Amino acid sequence: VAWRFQDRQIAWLLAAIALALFGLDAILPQGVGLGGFYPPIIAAAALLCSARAAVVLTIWCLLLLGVEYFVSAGPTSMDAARLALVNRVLAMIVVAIMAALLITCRRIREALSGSRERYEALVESSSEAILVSRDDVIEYANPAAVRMFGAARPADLVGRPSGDFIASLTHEGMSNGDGAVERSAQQLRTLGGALIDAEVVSSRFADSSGRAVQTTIRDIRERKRAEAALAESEQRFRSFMENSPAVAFMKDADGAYLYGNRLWHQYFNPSGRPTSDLDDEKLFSAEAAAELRRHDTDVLASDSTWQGQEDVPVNGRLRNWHVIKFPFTNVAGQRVLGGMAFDITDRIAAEEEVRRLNADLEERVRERTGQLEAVNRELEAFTYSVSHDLRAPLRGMSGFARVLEEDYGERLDDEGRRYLQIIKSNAAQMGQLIDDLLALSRMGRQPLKTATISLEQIAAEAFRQVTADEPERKIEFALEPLPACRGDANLMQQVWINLLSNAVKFTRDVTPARITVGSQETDGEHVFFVRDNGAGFDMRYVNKLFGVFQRLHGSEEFAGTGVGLAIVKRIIERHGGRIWAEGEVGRGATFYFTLGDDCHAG
Amino acid sequence: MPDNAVDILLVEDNANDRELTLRSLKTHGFAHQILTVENGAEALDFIFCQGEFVSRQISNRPALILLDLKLPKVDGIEVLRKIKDDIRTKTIPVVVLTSSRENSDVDECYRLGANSYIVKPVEFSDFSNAVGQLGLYWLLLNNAPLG
Repeated sequence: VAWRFQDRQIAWLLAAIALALFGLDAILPQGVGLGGFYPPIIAAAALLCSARAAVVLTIWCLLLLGVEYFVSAGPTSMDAARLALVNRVLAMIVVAIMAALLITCRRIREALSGSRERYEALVESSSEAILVSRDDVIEYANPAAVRMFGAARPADLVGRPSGDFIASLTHEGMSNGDGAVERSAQQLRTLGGALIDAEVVSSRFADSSGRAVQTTIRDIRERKRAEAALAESEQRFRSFMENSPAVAFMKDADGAYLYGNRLWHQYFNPSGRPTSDLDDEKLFSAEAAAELRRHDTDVLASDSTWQGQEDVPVNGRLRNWHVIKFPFTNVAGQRVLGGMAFDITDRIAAEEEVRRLNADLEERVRERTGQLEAVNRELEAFTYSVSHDLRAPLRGMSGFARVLEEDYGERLDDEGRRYLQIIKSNAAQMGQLIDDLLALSRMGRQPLKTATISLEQIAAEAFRQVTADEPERKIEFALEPLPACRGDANLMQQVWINLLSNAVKFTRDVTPARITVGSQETDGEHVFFVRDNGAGFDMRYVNKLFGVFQRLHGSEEFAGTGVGLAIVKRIIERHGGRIWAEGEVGRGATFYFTLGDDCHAG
Repeated sequence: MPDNAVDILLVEDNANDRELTLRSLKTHGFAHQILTVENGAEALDFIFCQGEFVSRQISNRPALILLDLKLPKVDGIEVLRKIKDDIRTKTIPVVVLTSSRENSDVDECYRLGANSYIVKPVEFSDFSNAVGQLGLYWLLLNNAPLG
């Protein structure tokens, strides 16, 4: 702005000087002639516009000076007034031309300056990199170019050969003159050595300094990436569709196929006809096609997904398909139908088979249940007979032995009476055996009546019962606190009675007899135990302990039928628990058991 | 035997048990008139005055019926049902005396209206005691209705 203002001031100043000279020339005596001052003034003014104008004007002024010289000093005498007039007219013309030149000059300059500003702003702010090179040397680089090539400032690029950056830019190809445009896709190397995929557009132009090449460089890495991603995506989906275990297809609204994946072709178009030539009418029977078509139109009309079974043949064999059909809009804006079909023929057959097997199984279970019920009834009848009929003769033996003893005892000697005793005690023992066996049998058949029970109370009561008949025994009985459990109170009482009566029985010969009932928690499970310091047993025979009629001691040594622990085991197992024992001959025994259900301390 | 003399009707098919029961009753001093029958049909004949006992008066009720369950022809449960179903006989005390410990039998007998249920002990002294006690209770202690 500063220099323009000066320029205008100088122009006005020059105009004023010229006017003053013209005035002086008019009032001064003839022949003084100030024309010699014009040329330098005009030259200075013209120089401010352009070199060419300065030359022309200077020559014009010299001519003017020559004319004035010849007119004023020439051999031909002329009227002084006419001379002065001519002189002034010429001066006026000069001033007018000068003014006109100045104005034009200024206008041109202003126009140029505006255009240049716009151009510079455009180039500077362009997001595309722009280089201007002259004679293959970079002369200008816009900020985008500086950024693109990884330079810190334009000076890093300016002055370097354009070939360092733009490999294939050849000037031969552009020798056709101004405006020739060359486009190419190139890989450019930045100052940092990175490669950039770019689209390069070069155009030749001429300016005041000569010919130059403007190069616009567009970074197309993003575009290339997008294109690659698109291609990858398309390839991915295509490979999925093609390798899908399901049949996949697309149809247009008229039912013509648009696409079918590999499986579709394999099943329905083995001859490889063009997909677009096919529709369901051509592929299937009229009836089947009509049904498929009805589903298709439903899907397109309701604009919703449909799932269901469709039955169409493959190679002449009818197969069952689970089909999903859905509407969507294709790129062309048409509503089309997409579908996937899974071959469920085998599944349906398998389901049918499972149904059939289940029906068979149920029938077999019914039969078997009937058989078992019959066996159970038989067993019931058997135990009933055992309970009733087996006892009657024993009662006879026992009874008549007693009658014999009462009525004829006096006639028998001691040995005879001893034999009678043997008969009676054997009958009694067999009665006990039968009772125990029946009890064991009942254990298995009775339904459990579970409730929350206090094992501690039950154990205390059981101990009272088993020692009631032997008040003379001195037993140190310790009952530790036991958790409450779910169980059948009657059956659990039987457990304690059997275990405690064993403990009492086998501590008969020990003084002091010690029996401890307690529980411990192992791995979150309550383990109950009955420990005594009695006869104990040999661990080698531990697996015989819980068997029916299995005894580890002779009946002369310790009485018993060998059923008690079998009953205990059965009760514990019916509760979902386990029972085991540890012992040592002469050191006592410990019986442990768990109950399947939760137990709660307290 | 004149029917009005019957105090106890013993229904028992097992001859040994019959003999032992009678002996026990006698041992405990019940010299009453005791009629023994060997099966359920005979028992019903007596109770309802049929067949052999057609001339009997039904109002001459026995004071006590000792009834075994497992009987030939008509079993004890059926005899019990008939007795307790009939308005004329339902108040006669019936004591079931059997070898069966089965809960199903106990439940069924009480449901049908049995007055007691006793399992015959195998041991004769126990058996004898049991018979003696039930005679004592039903014939002496208990006050039965007259008709």
